[in-house]
Amino acid sequence: MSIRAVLTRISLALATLLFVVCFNFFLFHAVGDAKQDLARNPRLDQAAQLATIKERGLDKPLLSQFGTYLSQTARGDFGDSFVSHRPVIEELGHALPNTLILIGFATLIASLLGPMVGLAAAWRRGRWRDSALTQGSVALYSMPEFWLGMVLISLFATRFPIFPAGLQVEPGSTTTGLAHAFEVAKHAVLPVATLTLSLLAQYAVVMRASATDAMREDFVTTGRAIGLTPRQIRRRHVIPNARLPVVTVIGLNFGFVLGGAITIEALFSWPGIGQLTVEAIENKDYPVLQGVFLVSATGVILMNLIVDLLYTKLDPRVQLD
Amino acid sequence: MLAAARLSLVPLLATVAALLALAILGAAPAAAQDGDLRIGYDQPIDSINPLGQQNQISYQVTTLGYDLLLNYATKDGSPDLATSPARSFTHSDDGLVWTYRLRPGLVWSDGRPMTSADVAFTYRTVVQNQTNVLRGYLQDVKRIETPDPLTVRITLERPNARMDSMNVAILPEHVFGKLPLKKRDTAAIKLPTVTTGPFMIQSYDPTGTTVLVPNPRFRGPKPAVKRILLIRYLDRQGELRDILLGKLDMVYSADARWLRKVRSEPKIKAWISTRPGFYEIAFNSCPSGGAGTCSGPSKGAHVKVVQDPAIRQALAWGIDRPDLARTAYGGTSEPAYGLISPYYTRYFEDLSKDPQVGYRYDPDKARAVLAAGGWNCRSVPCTKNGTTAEFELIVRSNDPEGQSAVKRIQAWAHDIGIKIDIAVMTETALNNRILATGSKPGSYAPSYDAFYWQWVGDVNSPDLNLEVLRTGSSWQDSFYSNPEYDRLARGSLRTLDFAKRVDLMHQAERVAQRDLPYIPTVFSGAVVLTRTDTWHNWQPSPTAGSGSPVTTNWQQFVGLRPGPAPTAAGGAASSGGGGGGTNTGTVVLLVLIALGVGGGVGLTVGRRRTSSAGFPDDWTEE
Repeated sequence: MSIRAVLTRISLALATLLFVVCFNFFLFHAVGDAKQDLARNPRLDQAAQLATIKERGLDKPLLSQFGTYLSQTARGDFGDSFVSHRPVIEELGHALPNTLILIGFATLIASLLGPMVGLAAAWRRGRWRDSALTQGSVALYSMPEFWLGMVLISLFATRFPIFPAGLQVEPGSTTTGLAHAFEVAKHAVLPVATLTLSLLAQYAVVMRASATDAMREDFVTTGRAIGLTPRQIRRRHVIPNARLPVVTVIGLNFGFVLGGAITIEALFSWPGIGQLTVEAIENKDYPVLQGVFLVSATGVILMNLIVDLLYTKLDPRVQLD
Repeated sequence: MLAAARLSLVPLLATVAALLALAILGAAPAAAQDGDLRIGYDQPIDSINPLGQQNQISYQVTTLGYDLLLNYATKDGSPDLATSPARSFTHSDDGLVWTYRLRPGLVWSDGRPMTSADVAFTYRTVVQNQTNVLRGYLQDVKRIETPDPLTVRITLERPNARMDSMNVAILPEHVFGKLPLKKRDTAAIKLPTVTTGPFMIQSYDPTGTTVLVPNPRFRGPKPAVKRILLIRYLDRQGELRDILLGKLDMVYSADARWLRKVRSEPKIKAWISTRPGFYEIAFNSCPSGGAGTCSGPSKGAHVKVVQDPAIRQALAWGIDRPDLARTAYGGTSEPAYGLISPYYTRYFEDLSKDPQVGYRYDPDKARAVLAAGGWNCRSVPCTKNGTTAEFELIVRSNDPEGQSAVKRIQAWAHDIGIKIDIAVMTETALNNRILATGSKPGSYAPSYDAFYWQWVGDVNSPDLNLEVLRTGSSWQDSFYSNPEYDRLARGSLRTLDFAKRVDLMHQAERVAQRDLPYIPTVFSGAVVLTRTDTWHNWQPSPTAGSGSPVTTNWQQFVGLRPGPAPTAAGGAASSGGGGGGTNTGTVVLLVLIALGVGGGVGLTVGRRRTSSAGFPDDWTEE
């Protein structure tokens, strides 16, 4: 892989990001009108409405607002929330790590276990284990995440109150340090489990299909003919050929899940990007929505770039140039 | 990563086992700590700064800490001198000079004395800061003086009856005075808050738990509550679950659909109360020549239909409000026959029995009104001079109850000969229709026929409920304009004699009911859930009728006592309730782990056995 090819990929990613930044501005101006939303606010009289409009720069021409937005965004300043009046970057800084805890752990566990489950099913294709794992995976895959979460809550928080059903810490908790981390971990179990099961099932299904194809290839038959053990065939020939689609799905999912964790976060009252998004939508907090949209889009673009670059490592046949 | 992976389910089972072990080691739900009052809520606390709050829950939080100059009485929201920082107030005969005398010895929670300077500072901030949400209360203020540390004198441009019921929290000058005037409504407040009321905010987390603790220097009786935990839920079902499990003591804003479920729960009490607002069908009332901020209705609007008095009155007679309250609103709302909710016990007048503007359900009368108005109703929709009695009724997409309500209204309207086309759209889209740009700068040309929405007024007086129909009001959305109404509504605000003020309000209300720019359908309701086994002595407000144990003042929390209410025999009702089952859960978990590990071993052994037996043949072509 040449440096030039890598630079080209990075440039393309940056160009996409620039487009997203511009689109972000016009999208939210097309779907909402912050000035009119203020007009029905019973807590602001007309003078206060006008002053607020001026303070937020909403009285300026659209292009002028766009210019301000671009220069602010370039400096990492997404403006202030209409609701909390805190800088959006602070709001994101509070919510993003919480979401990354969920997504990070769920993706890690699912990307380790999902392919294993898929491979185990493919290896025993047609047998009871394949049926059980495949049907189980398909069933999990097809379940709406919120429903799966509700089942887990019903079982492990209500019927048998083992895990907390929601929130990030016990209300009023004063724990710090390790005790706090333990408490957060305890509260993360059910949301992480929900997200993990959804992702795991998806990866298992993809891996099974991919591994099944690989196992039909001539090089596997040759491997058997020359006396390689099943383990050697799996490790040397099946897995390397079957993993590419899974890596693609994992990479793309990581970006999309940033936005897709909304239902999980809502269900478990987990204070992440999802919760921030829902509130911003409810309150028509356009600066926050713009920030969330930008973070999600950046996640997708970044993961696409990483997958692209990783491909050449995982499969020497793939050339970026 | 995958290359190194072994074909085994052991890691999966090990992970599950580890998670379960984590649960057993310490994940059982914590029992409530002594003295904690745990309140679940779902609307975000948008700010803890009283100058910048938009949401009801935010106001509730600060009410527990900051005093108003004249706090509201639990009984009916009237000025309560017994609990207020002001021990007396008077006004000049012309109502232009108001003098408030403070109680001596008042101190902030940090030990600094509270004086008239703090009151003056707060009011000046409200007047001078351009964007705070409290400006409306002090719009007529000309001058604020403090002749001595215990006296505040306010001079007004015009008389204003709300000077005894200003919902303006008194702020400490030595804290807020350090902030620039422009930022005083949006700046973050240092914690713990400095207050004079019974509580102060110790920590604020809009996405988690906000904690209030008692103010050690509070002048009144010490509350039994040691901490108020305001716990934010994004999923409302979680609130129901947790109060049933005993992990919450109160759900601040419960869903009406839960009532059936909690009715059979002996340890849960549901408080159904009327809110200070109403749902309404708003008609495009903008006259063709324009009025106020309206330059004339948009050309596409069916104003010939919706501005016809017969259509409005017929529809008003044709809506079965009690049925609407019972069905669409699950029995939590009351039928509305006026603009002033029964929540305002001192202001409310039941117009339902009024023969002219009562509009109790009477479809025959509705048909007669249409006939008298020249509408031919031999077929549906009725017609008049080539115009059909048909219009569009917009309802918000985020208002499921409203959508249910308008479907019923559509059926009733059809029954009397009016065709309603329902359109569901977002608030933004509806606002675009209401505030469509007019022909003059800064004017509107509303492009809707009618919409279904609601207003929620202030805690203490229904002025806002009337203000929304006044010509030129910034909250106008029907663009109704009637000088008679304007005179009465404004007059009520300028009249200090309470009886006369209320009478003017009722007159204005009757004019609005006669002209019907709005058809009020129900007075909106609220549902609060409390547990009966953890705290008792809840005080509903208003006392008469259906009150809520929260929203009016801090007294409602100071009076709370731990445990269940004492029974007539002198003992306490049995406590306990939710939250149990941990031991059972642990046993079940151990069984699950045993099964899981057993299964894992079985699968692993099976794998090895197959491998050692030779090359599997089950991955050949099917």
